[in-house]
Amino acid sequence: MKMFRILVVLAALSLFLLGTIAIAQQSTVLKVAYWRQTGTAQARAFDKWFGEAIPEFKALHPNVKIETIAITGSEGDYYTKLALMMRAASTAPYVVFEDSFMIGSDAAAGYLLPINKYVTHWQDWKHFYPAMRKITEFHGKVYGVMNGSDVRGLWYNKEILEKAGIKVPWQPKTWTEILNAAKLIKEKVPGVIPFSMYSGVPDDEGSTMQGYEMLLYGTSMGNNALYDWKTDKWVESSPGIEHTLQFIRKVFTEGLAEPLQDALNPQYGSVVSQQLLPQGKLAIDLDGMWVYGTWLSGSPTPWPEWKKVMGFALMPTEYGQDPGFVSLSGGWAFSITSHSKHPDLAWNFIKIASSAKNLATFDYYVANTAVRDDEINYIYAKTPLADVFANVMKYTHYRPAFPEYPKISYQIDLAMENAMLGRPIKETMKGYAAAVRGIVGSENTEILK
Amino acid sequence: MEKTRFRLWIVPLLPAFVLLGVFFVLPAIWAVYISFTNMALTGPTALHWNFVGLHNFYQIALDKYFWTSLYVTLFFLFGSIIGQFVIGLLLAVYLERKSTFVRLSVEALAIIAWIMPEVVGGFSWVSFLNYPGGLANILLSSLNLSQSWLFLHPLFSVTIANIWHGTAFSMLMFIAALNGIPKEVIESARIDGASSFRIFFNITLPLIKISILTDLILITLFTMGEFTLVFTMTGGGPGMATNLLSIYAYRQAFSFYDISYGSAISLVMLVIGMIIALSYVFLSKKQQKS
Repeated sequence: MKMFRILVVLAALSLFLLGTIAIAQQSTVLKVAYWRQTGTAQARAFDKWFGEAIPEFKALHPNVKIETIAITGSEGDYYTKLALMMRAASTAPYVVFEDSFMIGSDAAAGYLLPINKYVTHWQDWKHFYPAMRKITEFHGKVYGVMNGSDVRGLWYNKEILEKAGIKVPWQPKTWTEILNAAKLIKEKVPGVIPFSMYSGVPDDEGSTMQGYEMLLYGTSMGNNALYDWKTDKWVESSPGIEHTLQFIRKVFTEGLAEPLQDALNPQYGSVVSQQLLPQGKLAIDLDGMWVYGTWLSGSPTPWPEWKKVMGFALMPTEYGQDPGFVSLSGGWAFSITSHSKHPDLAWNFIKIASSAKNLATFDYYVANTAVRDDEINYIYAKTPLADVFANVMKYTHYRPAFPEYPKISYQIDLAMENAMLGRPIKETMKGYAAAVRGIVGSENTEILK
Repeated sequence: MEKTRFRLWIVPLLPAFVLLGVFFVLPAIWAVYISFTNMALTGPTALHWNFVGLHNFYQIALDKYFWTSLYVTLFFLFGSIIGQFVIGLLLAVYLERKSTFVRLSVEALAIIAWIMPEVVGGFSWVSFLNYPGGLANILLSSLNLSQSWLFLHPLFSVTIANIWHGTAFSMLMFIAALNGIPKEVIESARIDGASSFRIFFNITLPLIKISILTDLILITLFTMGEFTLVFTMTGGGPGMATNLLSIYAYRQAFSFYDISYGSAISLVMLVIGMIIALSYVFLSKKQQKS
């Protein structure tokens, strides 16, 4: 009996010791949270990217375990989940993958750690394009390292344009040229949607950025069209807003764009890239450069002929005024949370994941544009149209990523819907102006003439 | 003896109380509390929020989108109540005299609609109402009524979908109530020469009054809280056409990260639901007295 007791005590003791050794060995866990769009090219890109970066990190830090937290769901739900996790020290990941437009809000919230002390001593920082270093800055502090960016423009089906008698390669110089092409297609190639753009509430911020802002920043208001950077005020009313809404009203009420019930279908984005474009049912699409990612082999709807059929044109400014073209850019970044228990380790992980070779892998597979000038030395060189997209970067603008932006974006989407439904532009503009004043306070808005 | 019985009584219920307390009562109290603050999920007031008193409620009163959503909610609520109540009651009365086969088939169909996850139900309705090519439009094309229902009559469409979804509950409730009426009462009334119509209004309805009241209260509360079915079908659109208060509260809290304003809206929803539910009780009491 005594023997038995001793045995039990010994067993318990050894278990305890084993446990402590195990805990000591795995003392550090680095939690990395990211958005995973299961079943898409994005998920595959993450697997390839982490598949290279994590072993590299482990070789340098054998005692640190990297725990990747893949969060699935819609983009909006991802931010909500991330915000909830970052609120408390016990649930906060140490490294987070965030859209650059959320960084300002999350920095203001105190969720993120400024990383100036790390990037200033980092040799590679100078390889990031100046705009890509600037985009994660908030009140003079850097809060993230960009993983990839994007540009927007006009995808067009060369075969349909040729059928309508339009010469390819096609590069419109003004809005009127786009409208004329669409009218010609409507007349000459029946059964095809001449022009498509994201518009309205169901596509959330996608409508604002891919649709509305691509027009608005091309008006004479230019970079100050949405938010006036000279006065730090939101623009509640301007001729630019009026012209933008008129353009939207025109394409949707004159049958130049997709039918309204399609445009207001939340799945319309995938309908465009997976069905309408590959099936030759859509001629001109104002969209993101990443659309071709859907057609690569190993994607949901491979379309090997796309390079022959599809062309990419720059979006012109309204009258072709300087600088001639317009684009919007965003992109995602890695940031360190303020609750991170091991900021130095978190930084080391970001540094390794953001090497030219590793970012090239991610950007190639996810169909991004490069954020570093040396990604082109690696697999990114295989990106189709890489030089075209790099050229668009010259004309690109960034969103005013302030905490109020999501609310204003919703008001823009509602205004777009009013225009699509053919409601009077003057009234819609009045409603928008009142809503913007309500969101940011009338002392923070202005009227541009 | 009394005391021990009390203790024994509490033991098996304790886990339920704890779970309800932690996952239901505490978050509810928390939601009430944050409606009086300016807490957000991101931005400057995320971690450093302040107590702002009635500010959120004052904002709600001035918020025209709130009033639009309230109108949408009330239309949806009363449409659903009338539809579910009337169809549920008619089905229960109709099935009472039918063969077991008919009764079981109809009941099964209604219950399938009820237990089907709302996301699945929502998507089924979207494809049913799809234009062109959805089954509804194929059936209606002979009447020249084929059209984009979710776009042209969105609020009407989602209300119909909700009636379809919830009718089984009223039906089951009334089947049980009708079974509870003693057969002799009906039979003697018939012998006295009362018509079926008269029997239904003067005997059946008064006898199942408690069930009617419970049914109305529960439908009201279910419908006030309805979110998934409509969100799957329309996302609250087009525009604000089907933007229920629940969807509006969700959007404020989780799309605009304004969790305090979203909570304030849901608190207002709760009050509206309670007022409507209590008014049934009040009306039935008043009627009882007269």
